[in-house]
Amino acid sequence: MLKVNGQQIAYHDGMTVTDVIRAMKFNFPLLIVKVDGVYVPRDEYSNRQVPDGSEVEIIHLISGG
Amino acid sequence: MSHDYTKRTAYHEKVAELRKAHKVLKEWSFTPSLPERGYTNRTLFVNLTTLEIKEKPVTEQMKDLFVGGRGFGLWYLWQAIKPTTKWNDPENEIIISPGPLGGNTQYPGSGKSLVVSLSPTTGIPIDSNVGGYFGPLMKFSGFDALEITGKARNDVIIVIDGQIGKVYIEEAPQEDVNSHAAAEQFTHMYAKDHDDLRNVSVVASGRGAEHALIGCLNFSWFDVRRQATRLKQAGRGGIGTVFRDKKLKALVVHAPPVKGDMNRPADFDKVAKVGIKMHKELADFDLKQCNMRRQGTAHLVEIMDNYDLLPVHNFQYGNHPDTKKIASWIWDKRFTQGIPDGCWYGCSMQCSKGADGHVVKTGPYKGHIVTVDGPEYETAAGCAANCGIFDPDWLLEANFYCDTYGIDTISFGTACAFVMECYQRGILNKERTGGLELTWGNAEAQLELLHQMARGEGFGVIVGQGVARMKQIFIEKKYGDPQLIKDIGMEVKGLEYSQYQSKESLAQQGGYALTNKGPQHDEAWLIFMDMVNNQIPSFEDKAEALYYFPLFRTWFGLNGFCKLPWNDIEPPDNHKYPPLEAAKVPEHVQNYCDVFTGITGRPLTKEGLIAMSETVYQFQRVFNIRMGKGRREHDLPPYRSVGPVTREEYESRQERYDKQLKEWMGIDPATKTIDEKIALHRKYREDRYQKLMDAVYKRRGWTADGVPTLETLKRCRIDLPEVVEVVKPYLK
Ligand code: SF4
Repeated sequence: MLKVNGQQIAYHDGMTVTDVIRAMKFNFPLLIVKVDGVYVPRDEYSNRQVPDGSEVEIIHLISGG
Repeated sequence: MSHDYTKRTAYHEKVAELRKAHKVLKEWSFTPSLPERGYTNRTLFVNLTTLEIKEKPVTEQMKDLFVGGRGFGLWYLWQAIKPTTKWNDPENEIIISPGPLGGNTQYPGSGKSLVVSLSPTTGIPIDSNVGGYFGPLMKFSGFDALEITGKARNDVIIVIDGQIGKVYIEEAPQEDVNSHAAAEQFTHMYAKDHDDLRNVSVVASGRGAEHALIGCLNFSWFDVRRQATRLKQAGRGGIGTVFRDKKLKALVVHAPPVKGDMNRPADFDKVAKVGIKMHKELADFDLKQCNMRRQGTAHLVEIMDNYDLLPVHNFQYGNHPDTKKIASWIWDKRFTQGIPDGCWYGCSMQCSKGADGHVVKTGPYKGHIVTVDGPEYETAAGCAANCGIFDPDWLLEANFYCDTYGIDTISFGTACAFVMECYQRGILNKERTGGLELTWGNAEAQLELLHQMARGEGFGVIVGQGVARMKQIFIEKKYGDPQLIKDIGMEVKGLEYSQYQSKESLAQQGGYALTNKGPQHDEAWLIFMDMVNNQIPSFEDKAEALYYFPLFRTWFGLNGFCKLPWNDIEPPDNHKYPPLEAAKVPEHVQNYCDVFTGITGRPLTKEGLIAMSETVYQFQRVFNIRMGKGRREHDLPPYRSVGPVTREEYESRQERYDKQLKEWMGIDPATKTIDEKIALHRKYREDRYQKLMDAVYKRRGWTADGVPTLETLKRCRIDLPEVVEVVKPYLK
């Protein structure tokens, strides 16, 4: 299991940040992602694997209007 | 499909003939001047009744307390009207001011004009932030603000010629009233030659604004690449209606050619340095982030749908399977790409997208080929999704006619969605709408409403009165359950909601209803912070956000800035700040302080920026109270924006609402009927909103009734006798 923004989600082997974002159905581009408190740059989302049991923060910034 | 961006119907071929019909009513001379450190230190005053034209000094006190833009507009309006003034009294004014930083070409998004008037729909001051060249060109002609009062007898134009130092009031009987044609005609009429076209900007409205209260203004600029007159809208609150009521057909400014240093800044290099940094940031990251350069704000359509935030069927729902038909990838193809689309020089965000080659399907311009300015997100969400019309061509048609008729797309979208829901629920029927079948998705009926507004006939005129008046009318005529009509009519203080679902974000319910002018997202957009990130869980956290963000965003309107380059692009290292700080984009906030200091020479800190805004914000709240509408009872949202009104709404998200019953209220949903569950939610959510109001009022320095206290006025340096006199009766 992973904890994403306080919510439990299922984990699978090799899960990357991109997979987590997809699992959460997030499609907003201005995100700050932290895995266990460590920032992940945007261009590493598809390669960076998330260990089972991690706590992931996906902060949405603001846009529009 | 690619469209020829140079091909469109021309309206300017007979301008010489049109001009011959003008009658000059008044000519006035002035000495053109450039600003010094962002200010020209004078305002142009025009009285359309007496034909008086004069200049007024901009005082040091005005600059110190009200800064410029919206601040100047509110200050002039305060002096011009009485508590009993109505929007269509001659003493109501329209004030346009770009602010001291407006017109700089170094920092992206610096060309906005702020327009202030007493609103026909709310009865309180309205402020609207608009692009196009008018405000900056007026400043470079010699004026920080234009203040218009009185009413003309026949259709007139005001021409400010900053190349020769003349102002004219002229009767102009023959040009089009509708903006797309009027702007083109006046631009070509007042430019000396082809190269001079870019030095002319026009403000116009349209036939719709003559018969509807939701009229908007269009501000033009000449798009050199397209060889077209483009338009941006001062949409909210019906200023276009005031404009046409004053029998203004257009305002024209003809200015000297724009150069990079015309604000004559205190420290040009400081401004240029920050500007270059931002241009690089936009060039490097826009494509990876919001893609504003290709899609404008329309990039938000499918995002809002995905988070259940896109208003569908009058804000009943937050998404729809057909959203893909009006999503960003459609606009990516439909907008002409590869052309700079800035609505002011130097805006490298370039998001004023245009759909060229639209062949008009209906109405008086049927068959014409036009460039549609947009659609922006709000127009797509309001005129399309909220009305169940998921068709890009019809959306372009509605966008075109709203603009050219001078109708605000946001208010129109929300008003049209309201009558469509009334039709769905039997509150309206074919007999009551004069034969129009206002079913969800009926694009032709939507367009007919617009054409009726422009012709001043039929049910379209009723819709044009806006949601607040329609509620009254439908209730008086006993068309349906008064409570239901009140619950589903999406307005506060008389202004229609802009296009975001707020049911699952308490902070945004406040972000809409606790605004000064009415529910427009340009004060606060807190949905992600609140609903997705859960960053502001307590009432106090939300109150802090509802203190900071409205004040921060007010600052754009004082200075002539566009909000978009603040946070529709982020510096790559924005993550280094704690999340709550990151949402403020601290580096960009510092940029604004630097640009302010660089131009005006006045030092400014981030805290000083907020204090600067707060003076004007609190003043506007007092102004509302003076006009009878700035207290607790006026800050209450319709229930549709707070929670599920109907069974269908509840059932569509039953899992969510049932879970909330359990988690928030400790109630087992299995033991309750749907109606009981709706009632329980309503009680819980309305109580919660009241608690939010308490926390926000406290943070803003207001009494429990929403009135700024004397200490607050003193802290904000607006304890002027005339201001104190307004609040005193409520402080006993
Ligand atoms: S960001 Fe877009 S709307 Fe704002 S000034 Fe630039 S082009 Fe105009």
